[in-house]
Amino acid sequence: MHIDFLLDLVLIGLTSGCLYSLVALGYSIVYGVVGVINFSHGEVYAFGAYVGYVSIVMLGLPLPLAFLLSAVSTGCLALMAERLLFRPLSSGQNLSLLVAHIGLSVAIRSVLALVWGERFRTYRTPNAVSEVLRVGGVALSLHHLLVLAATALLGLGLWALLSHSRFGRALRAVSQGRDAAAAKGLPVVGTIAGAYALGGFLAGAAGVLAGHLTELTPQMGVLMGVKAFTASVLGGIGRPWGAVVGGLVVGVLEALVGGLVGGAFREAFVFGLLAVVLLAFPRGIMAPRSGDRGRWSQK
Amino acid sequence: MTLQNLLFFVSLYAMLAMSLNIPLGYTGVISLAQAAYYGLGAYTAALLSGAMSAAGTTIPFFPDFLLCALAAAMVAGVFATVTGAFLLRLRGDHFVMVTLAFGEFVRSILASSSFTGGNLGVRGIPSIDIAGHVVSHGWPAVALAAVAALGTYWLCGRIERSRFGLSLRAVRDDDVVAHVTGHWPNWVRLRALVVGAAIAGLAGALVAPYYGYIDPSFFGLSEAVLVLTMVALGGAGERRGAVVGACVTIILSFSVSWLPVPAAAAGSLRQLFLAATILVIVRLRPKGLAGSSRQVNP
Repeated sequence: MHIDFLLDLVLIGLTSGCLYSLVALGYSIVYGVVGVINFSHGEVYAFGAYVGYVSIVMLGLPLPLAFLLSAVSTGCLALMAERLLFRPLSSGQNLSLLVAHIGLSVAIRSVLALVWGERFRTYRTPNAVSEVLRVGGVALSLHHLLVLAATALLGLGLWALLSHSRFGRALRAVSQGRDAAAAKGLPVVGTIAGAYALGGFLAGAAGVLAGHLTELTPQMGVLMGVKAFTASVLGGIGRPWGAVVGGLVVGVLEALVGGLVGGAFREAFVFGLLAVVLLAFPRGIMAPRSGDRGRWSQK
Repeated sequence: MTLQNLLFFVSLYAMLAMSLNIPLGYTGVISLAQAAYYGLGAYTAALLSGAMSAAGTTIPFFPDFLLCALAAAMVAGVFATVTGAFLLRLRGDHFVMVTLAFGEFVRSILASSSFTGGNLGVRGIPSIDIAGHVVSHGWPAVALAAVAALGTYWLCGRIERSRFGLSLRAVRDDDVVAHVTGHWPNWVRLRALVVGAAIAGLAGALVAPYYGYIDPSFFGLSEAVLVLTMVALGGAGERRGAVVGACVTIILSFSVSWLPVPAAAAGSLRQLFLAATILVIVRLRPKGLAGSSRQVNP
């Protein structure tokens, strides 16, 4: 076993882990604020990837513009879904909320399949050569660098938003106690909508980045949803920074299993990992020992 | 798509929806693993009947199809016991997510194992013979499926009126009170899950000889979601709701295939149509079309 091979695997894992982190943030932020799992989140990510496909491949827009367009459109999609479906149903049974999420997921998947068909799509043109940067024995393609850099930027922006803005403070307050936040005059309903929109924005960003690494299919959101959810639970669902760490861990573990055991076991590994994580670490690997509600605590 | 097909699928999915209704409607355990139990039943029946017809062995006075059906129900039930024993410790949304993962885990194992034929699945499944008559195709198959669905309907009625059914509803409505009055909630939930899985396994044994071949894509997430939405649309908690949901969903998806659309788009269009119906019904009647005023508290 050559050490460079392992390093390559870790690097590939970190890159896909960045995407898992971005999507997992959506699960975590929404769970932190509302306390429910956002089951249709994977499909929001897939929608973002296809918006990126339209703007990059079909319209030929420059990358930053395409990036912004798709992240904003998924943010709006999440906002609309929250307003029209999740908010009216949030006071009722859990089952109807779940069914609404399922209906939305199936709707997004089938619209993607109707418009673009089931076949694989990719952002790359056939004759484009992706530049490769060599650091020691490790090869880094420009696509990987792009994903790493964009995730770092988004993470920085998110940190600024959560810890230094009015919205971030409201988000934290609502997640720590909805009634107390309302008593203090914070716009609770708007903050919840904002949490969905922020999650959608990050998922759309992940979608555009994913288009540079893998092929797009209408079904791409399902597996991503499971992996990102695993990541968010691993980091302690409700904690944004836990989701980031969880995503990177899931990405690296998955790449190592895929490279060392065999690609066929990658999917089964992720599903098994989710069960193990939920049963053994239901509050995440970084949970404090006691006195924590598993939500978003800033101590 | 003929009337024959329509009636067969209505019966089959009514049976599946009623089987999911036992954990979901009566007990409040939302599971997305029902398609996995259904698929495990179908694979068991397919592989066992194939092996038996290849070996030419029969058990005297005991028809082969009954043996396959029993084996299918048992395998599904055993899997439900094992998964339930581990996973029922989780509550609510976390349980839903982990059953989703379990369903996809089973599908990916079926798709990558050589014993189950990988992605190609099992082909040439022998048909069911009763006294020399083939009953797994055509109108006899519809009759068989209808008998199975009616049997499930009767069984669900028995469960609803039994002490077992009472403890299921007690756990659903308030598991602390149920616990205090002597019903251990997770044991009750486990039994509901296993009974539901066994019936889903029977439905699998019914569908395998009807298709003649099966592959893992029949038993994926979309199937689990379909059955779950049937129960939710009809109204969880009563057998009537599950049957109504199955009829509405199947008739809707059949009506799309009568529309003049290209074959390539028909599948996605059917999904979109279903999704739109789900969203409209869940907004207008959150408790389902035939929904009662009873609460479902997962």
